Amino acid sequence: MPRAARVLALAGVLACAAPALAQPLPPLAGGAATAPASDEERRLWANADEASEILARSGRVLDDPALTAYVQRVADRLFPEFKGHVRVHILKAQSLNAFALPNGNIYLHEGMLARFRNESQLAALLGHEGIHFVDRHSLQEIEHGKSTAALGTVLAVVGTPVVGLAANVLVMSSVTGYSRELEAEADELGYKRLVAAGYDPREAPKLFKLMMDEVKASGADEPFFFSTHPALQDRYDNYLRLSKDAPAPKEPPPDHYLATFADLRLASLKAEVSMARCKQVIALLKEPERRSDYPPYVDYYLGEAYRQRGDKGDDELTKAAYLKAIAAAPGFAPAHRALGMQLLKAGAYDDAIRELEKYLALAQGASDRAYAQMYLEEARKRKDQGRKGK
Amino acid sequence: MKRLLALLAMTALLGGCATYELTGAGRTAMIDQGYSVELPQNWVRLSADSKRVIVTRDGFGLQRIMITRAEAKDAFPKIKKQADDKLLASELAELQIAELKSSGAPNLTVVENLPARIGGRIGFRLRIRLLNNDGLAFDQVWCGVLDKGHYYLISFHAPELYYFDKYLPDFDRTLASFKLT
Repeated sequence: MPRAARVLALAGVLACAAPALAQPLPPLAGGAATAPASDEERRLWANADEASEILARSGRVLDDPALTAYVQRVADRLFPEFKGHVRVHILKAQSLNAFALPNGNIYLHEGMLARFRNESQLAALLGHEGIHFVDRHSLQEIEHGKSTAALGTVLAVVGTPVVGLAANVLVMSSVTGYSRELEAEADELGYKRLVAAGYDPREAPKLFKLMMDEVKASGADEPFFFSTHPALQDRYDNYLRLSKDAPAPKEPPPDHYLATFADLRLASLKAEVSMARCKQVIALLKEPERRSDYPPYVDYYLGEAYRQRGDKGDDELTKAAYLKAIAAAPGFAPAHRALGMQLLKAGAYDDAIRELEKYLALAQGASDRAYAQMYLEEARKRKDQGRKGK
Repeated sequence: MKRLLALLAMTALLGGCATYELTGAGRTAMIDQGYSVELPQNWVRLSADSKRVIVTRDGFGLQRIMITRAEAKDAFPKIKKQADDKLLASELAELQIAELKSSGAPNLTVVENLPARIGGRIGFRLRIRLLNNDGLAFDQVWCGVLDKGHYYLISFHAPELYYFDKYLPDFDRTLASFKLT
């Protein structure tokens, strides 16, 4: 039987069995006793295993042992009795997403990791996702006949070749379907784990606030992770309420998040710019405090985002951002090229020539030298034409 | 003989939904699209598509040349951006890359990005690479140019293995023959 058909058949079996299964489910036991407790749960785990294998084969799981070990260490700190059962993976995707499969595999998207500013924020999300596994939320939903969210997750993953965005959308859109009650439970219990592990709980709402700002700025639908219940606003409200009056932790674990993930965060920022997600980039970088997490030339990317947006007044913001990047890092070549191009378009040929020459001097091996050379010649030509015209 | 069989098979498979014709010598004028071009001879053209030129020799999955035109305001629908004459060639290329990444190829690799003269105007020439789930590389060349409020794209798609290098000269001859009218 084809794989998708098998999963569909399982969905049917489980749907029929649902009314007969209405007992409250205890959480998984932890340690060596962490195992599915029924045939239904065994099948659910087996399908999740299959989905995990497909994801692994797809080439979309990041093969970076150091980064994966870091996120795994945080998960193990949150769920010590589930060490070896909660397994965290990083997916090569820029969307703001994370999800847990019923077999304990948690997937964090690079785009999500790029938004965390510290280990506490990572822990807040892992705590939430880990609870979906530990408290067997997938099975709960099936048994209560409310939803086949987790099964849908598996079905979507198993039944779809993970090749591109279209497939990705299909897979990820099904990774969000826990009921509002279970999501709230994951907030509550995940929060307790966060505090017990010594992390700063006050960081959790900050993360969700930033994400709300990004989503609002972009005008896009909420990220898949938050696209059902509770919505992103609910998540923010929950963590804000939970962390209200929470003190700073007395002995927080050492936090090397920014240093460890610096390359990934910068690569993610570049990827966002290369996809012309200018509004998200502006939302991410407009606060000076957040820019301080990046290299000194980060204003170049903010400038690129303003240029891409192209609203009234953005020319000035673009130029100011480029100049700031150059002031902070004079040897950062792309800012000179970008400023030179802007000056060329504005008819400031002398300044354009100066910046483009700097770029060409700094970026000896750059792949876009041909463009810069062309623009430089154009600026010189127009300058000469201007001189002759006088 | 093999090629004829392949063409017959392709025609049989797809004949129910589209019509095809062999390309001949001389220029193909797309009068209402504002350009003319010399297509490789004896390739197969999807003739049912009057807005675009799509040709292949052995099958659309093995090599194809495609020429499209869009209104500048509709040039980049996925990223919801417009093209305009103020854009520099590299900015046009940047938008095309963003459009491709947002159209199902977020992990594409830009192999080459150069300014290029297309139909007598300055545009760009991109070469990108995509990997399928089995790690097989597919290369594409995208050449774009703006003219009189329209965005023209001439592209070549083929598996990197064997087909890309073999048929790239056919694409380059087609590109060189492209004239805006």
